[in-house]
Amino acid sequence: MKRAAFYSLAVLLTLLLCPALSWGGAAVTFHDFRPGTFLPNDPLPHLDNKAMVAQFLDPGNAGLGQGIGYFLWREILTAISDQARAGVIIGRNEGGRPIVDMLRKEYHEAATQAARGLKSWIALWGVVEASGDEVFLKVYISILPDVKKAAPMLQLLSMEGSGKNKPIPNIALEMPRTLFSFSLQGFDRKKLFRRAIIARQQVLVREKPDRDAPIVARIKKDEALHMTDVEGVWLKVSTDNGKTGFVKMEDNSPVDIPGLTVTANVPGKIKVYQSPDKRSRLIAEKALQGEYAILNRRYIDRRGLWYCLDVDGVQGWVEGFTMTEKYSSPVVDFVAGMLRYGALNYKGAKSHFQRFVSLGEQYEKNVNLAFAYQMMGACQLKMGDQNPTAFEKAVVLTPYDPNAYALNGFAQIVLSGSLRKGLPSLEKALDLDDSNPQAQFLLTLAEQIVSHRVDERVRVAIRSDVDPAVIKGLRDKHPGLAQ
Amino acid sequence: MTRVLRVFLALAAILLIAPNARGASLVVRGVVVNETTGVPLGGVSVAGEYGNYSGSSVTNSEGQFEIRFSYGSPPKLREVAIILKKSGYGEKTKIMQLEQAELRDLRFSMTQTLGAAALGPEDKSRLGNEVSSDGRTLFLLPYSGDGGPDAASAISLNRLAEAVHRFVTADFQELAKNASSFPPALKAPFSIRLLPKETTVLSDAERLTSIGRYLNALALAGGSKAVVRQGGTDKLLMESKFLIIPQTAGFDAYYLQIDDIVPMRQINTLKFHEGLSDYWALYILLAFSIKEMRDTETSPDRRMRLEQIRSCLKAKKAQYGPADKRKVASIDTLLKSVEAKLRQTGVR
Repeated sequence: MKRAAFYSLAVLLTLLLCPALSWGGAAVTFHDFRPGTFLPNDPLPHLDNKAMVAQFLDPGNAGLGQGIGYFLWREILTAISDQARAGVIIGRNEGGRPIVDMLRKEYHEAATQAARGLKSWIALWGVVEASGDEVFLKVYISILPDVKKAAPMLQLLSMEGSGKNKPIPNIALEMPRTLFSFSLQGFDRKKLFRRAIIARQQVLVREKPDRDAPIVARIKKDEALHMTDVEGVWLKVSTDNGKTGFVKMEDNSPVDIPGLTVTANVPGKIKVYQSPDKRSRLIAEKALQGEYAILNRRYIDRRGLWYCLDVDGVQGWVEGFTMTEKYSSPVVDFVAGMLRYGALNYKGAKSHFQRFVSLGEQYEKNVNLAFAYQMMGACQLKMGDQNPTAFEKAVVLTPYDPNAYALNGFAQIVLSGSLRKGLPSLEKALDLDDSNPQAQFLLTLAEQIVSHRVDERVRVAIRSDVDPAVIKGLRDKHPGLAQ
Repeated sequence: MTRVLRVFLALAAILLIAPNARGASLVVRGVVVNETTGVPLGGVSVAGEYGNYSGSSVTNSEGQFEIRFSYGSPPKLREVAIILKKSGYGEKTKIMQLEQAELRDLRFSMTQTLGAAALGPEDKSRLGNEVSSDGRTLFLLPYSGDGGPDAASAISLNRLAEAVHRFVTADFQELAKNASSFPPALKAPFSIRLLPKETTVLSDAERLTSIGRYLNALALAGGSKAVVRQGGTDKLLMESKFLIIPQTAGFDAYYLQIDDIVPMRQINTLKFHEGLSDYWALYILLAFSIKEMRDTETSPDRRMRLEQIRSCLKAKKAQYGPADKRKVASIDTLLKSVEAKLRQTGVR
């Protein structure tokens, strides 16, 4: 076969195989969007596990609406860059009604509609304002469980037989909360934007934020630039040799935006290499204390993720698994956690929710922290943890939420195999709201168990260790329940 | 006839006549409602005239009253006049022909004067264009400032209005998703409008209520502000009053209080409303719930609508943490009222 023919065949085969490949953190663009319709050119048609980030509202005309949308999009992409079967897209509309106009009037409804049009099950949107050196972000998230078939839920698994460890149909509680508004976050503008960004391809640095401005530098793929600020959709940058200029953020972004810093997540000493390769020269081996600014970040096939850090005045590379990356906002971890959960990576998802809780516990709303704990609990259940306390923490945070008690009760019953264990939570949920569907489901399940009107698989999984009169008493005590 | 016999006959005659003179009475019972909404009106002063006899009463929270006239001999003109008076409503006189000894199950209605009594022509001409057509408008009054010349321009009410509108709408959307059922009325758009600068009458509750009624407002909010220096930083101290206008039995127009301290450098940023936001959303939710409770009084699907309000209030309550007892208490007060109304429908 002639060389030209061989290459043609290779290209053809690659094109044919591409759709079948699993994409890790795919970045794409999309164009015309009509609310309520599926895009004919869905940006990630093979993927049902994806999030959409919309342009932010900018009521004070700070010139940051688009920039912040891009910025968070790239950060979330960074957070899931090693995750197969997960993606993030930028929800920008180039034709018809701008998405930001829809958000300005319809808020969650608009975000939900836009996400549905893009077959995304998570929509992130928000508001940005600037005042002097401060930037304020208000972030909202809308979740569409019906878009992704495997939306988060607690399920009872079969204990035996051919269907062992498979969910028993209809014995499941969904995570009831789907719309979130996160607490306002204020940032020092310099600290928020000042960081290294990495060229994904050759990057042109222009003298001014103008597509026709002269080019002052060309940055090669994988090299780092120093970002200092954002102006509209332009990143203000400086190069290693002191040149300053602007790089345009586009739908097919030329740069990756890593998190702000990393901290060591393993005890003891960490090896620091001269290049992102364990075969390169070992230049230091020491315990890394505190936070380190990321100077470069690279994911290398078969060698994994690497960070370039300044360790005591010496630049070197450390393996990614030894570090935990910190992003601008805990919301990045929240979305990354949802996407990893959607990709069935429960360990990774739990880590993100854990970080969301630890970063946000001082200021984030209880209801959001409670949800993160419930997601941690769901991950723990999926991983076979027999003693997850996360559901109880959610109850402590939201003591007036019947759903929190119902989820906790269900988890207790499923884990212990004892109906009795979940009874106090069930009673509390009914006391708070006996019209709550989750509480009603749990009560009906309890009634079916004590009267032995359940599937054999449920009978094996959950003991009927409660007097039927107690369950009947619960129904009698709550007249709001349908008889 | 002997003297003794004459005295005896006179006594007998008195004894025969006396029961009539002592026991004659007329009872008038009824209920007073708002003519437009049908909501029972409490606190209505009811005066009755029956010839030269008179009686009076005040309606209870269910709008009910009873007047008893005791008389010696019945008036020649067998008519009863009932005069109804209540602040904010037009005085009403009703004449009824008396055909029996009792007048029961009477139903009177009163027309809200929409503050006409308290508002002069100047007020009306200033506010006339602002009247809300659907009763779904929160009106913001200018804040009175006493912190010096900078304070007057320190707060941008337009920014506040925009932020509160976004926050509240998004919050209602979240509640609608998280509640088992939700009043459709709360999903419909609502608006926030600024009133002219001259409408600074917060200290006069009655007048402000009149303005709210005249405007057909959902609520009015305004307050006072002062700039103080704390810890080397200039801060805006804001005391906001939030007046809910719709009424229903047990809930007359009433004030709620929001106190806040915002660093001056943040007043034109998102940070400004963040401290207030949840109270704004909560109080607007309470106002809508009271309005919805009022609107259900004459609704054929009253039970379903009350259950929707109940579910929505419980969903709001579910958002709160252990430190939010004050907010939870304000929801519980309304929830008790909803539960009581549901019991009246015979459902719970």
